[in-house]
Amino acid sequence: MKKPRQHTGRTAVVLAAGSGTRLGAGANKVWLPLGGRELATWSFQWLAQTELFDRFVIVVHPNEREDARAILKRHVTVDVDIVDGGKSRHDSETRALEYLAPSIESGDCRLVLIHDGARPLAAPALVRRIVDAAEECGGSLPYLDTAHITGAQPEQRLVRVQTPQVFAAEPLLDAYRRAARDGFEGSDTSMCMEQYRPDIAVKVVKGSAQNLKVTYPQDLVMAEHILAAQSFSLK
Amino acid sequence: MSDQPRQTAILQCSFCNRECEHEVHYAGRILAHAKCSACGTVMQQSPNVLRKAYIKDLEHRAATKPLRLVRRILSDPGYLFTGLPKAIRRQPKKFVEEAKELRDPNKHPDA
Ligand SMILES: [Zn+2]
Repeated sequence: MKKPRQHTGRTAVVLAAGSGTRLGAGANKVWLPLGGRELATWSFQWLAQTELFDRFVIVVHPNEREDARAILKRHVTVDVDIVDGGKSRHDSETRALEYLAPSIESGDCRLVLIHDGARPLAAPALVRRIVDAAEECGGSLPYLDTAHITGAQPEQRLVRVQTPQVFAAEPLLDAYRRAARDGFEGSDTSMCMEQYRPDIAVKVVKGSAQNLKVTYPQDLVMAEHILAAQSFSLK
Repeated sequence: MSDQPRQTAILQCSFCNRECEHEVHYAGRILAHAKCSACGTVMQQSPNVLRKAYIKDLEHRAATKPLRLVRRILSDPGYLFTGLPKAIRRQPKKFVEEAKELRDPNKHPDA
């Protein structure tokens, strides 16, 4: 048992199951080393640092449950519940929300943050901005305007949606239950909310280029440099 | 899962664009190179950049080791009697392995 946390009514969920159809143990990039510890553990470092959450959940591939438990024990300062993931990102989200359903239905959990475990550098300041916005209007997500990277004209601009995304817990659970009935699968949390709960306003906040998603090997190098340049401590 | 200098993981290759297994090599905590299992392309840091990053990281590891050790023992007191003696015995071999990863993989394909 680790440090007890003050009740805030907010839960943070980190998706680390990868793509269940082709993964075996040891092949999931979220368990690759980054700055001396497994990549997925950094997210808990920043989330815990905000002191905005009273519960933490990680969704993992069922084969990786025991390894995940040992890694979290070694590197994470808060208790983390482990939930088995599904065949897709959407399925993993559904499982996490069903796991949280009793506390959502009792009103104990008001707000849920969902974060991609392959984004190890979502800094505490960014998390706070997203949570504040979601508290204000029901939902929030970060976006990155890529014009400054690509030099594109305003009309050609690409806006990239990032995680963490934060939503009011009850409508979020409702949206995923409706999606399950219809067999709908969204590519991210906001897509499912847009489809089933368009009544929930979503505020977009400016994301961060630093909040990269590890996709290519060179992203790991970039993430190492960012961590080292900030002495392994994001603000 | 993170103590081995050579790991495998599914990443996307920037050359063949396939999402497939990559063999990822580390020099200590620094990624040295990664090889795509589909097309064989090796993504590597320039040897000079890698060596500088490795030395800087080694200094950081040395400076933070006492604190990390205390944290480890507090979270797992048994480590003091079981894990720590083994870790100390492993140190020389570990540094040799790390030094090997600093070599250019094109000149030392077995690395
Ligand atoms: Zn390739």
